[in-house]
Amino acid sequence: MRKRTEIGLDFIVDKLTNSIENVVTGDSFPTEISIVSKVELKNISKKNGWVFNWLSELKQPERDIYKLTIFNNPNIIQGLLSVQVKSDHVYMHLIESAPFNKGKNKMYAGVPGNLVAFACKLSFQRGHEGNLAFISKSQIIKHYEETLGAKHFGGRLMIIETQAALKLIDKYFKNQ
Amino acid sequence: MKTRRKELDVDFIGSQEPLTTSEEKALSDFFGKKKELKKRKIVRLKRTTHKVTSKA
Repeated sequence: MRKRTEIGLDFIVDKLTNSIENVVTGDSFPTEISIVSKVELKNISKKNGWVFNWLSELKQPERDIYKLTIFNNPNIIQGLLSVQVKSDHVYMHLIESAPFNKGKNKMYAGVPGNLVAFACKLSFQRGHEGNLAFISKSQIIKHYEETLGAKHFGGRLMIIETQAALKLIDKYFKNQ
Repeated sequence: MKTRRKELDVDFIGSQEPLTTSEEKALSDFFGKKKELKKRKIVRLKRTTHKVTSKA
């Protein structure tokens, strides 16, 4: 059986680093990112407000699923990330904020940004120079260009290249 | 005046729909070429450095 190891790591654009921010109080909380287990995905379902089928993501052996949690509070998943390390880049299949971190009434801000920066860091660690690719809906391409420094590759594809990846890592992982 | 960068404000990113073969190929061609170019650049730099060192 494939053994998953815990990797502790941690991202928003233009806010505090290595943390997520309580939208109401403005307090920030340090975060960590680690591999998620099947047991932890037990309550991650459409019935509980999640959009994607994370259990089916976990079943795909070439993908790694990470959870973002607040430091010292590993049981409350703030957001999830599904990535695949390809031969020359990292492909980001999915990112999803927890249901309580979605929409105007979200509890914490900064979850997706943290996870994108983590994927960039992973790309550097695997020798892919921070190169990252992902799919975007056409109406938010500009938003990704403005907030992540992503480039529209064509069609529904977007990429983040070395320089933009470095900026994101610098912003979100400043304390590491 | 400092320009404030917009904050990433999405609930999710990506899709569970797989990439098409042509999308996969386009990405692989692009990143592959980029890596190859960088490799060549490094080799060229090493050669130049070696020449300079040898002359000295």
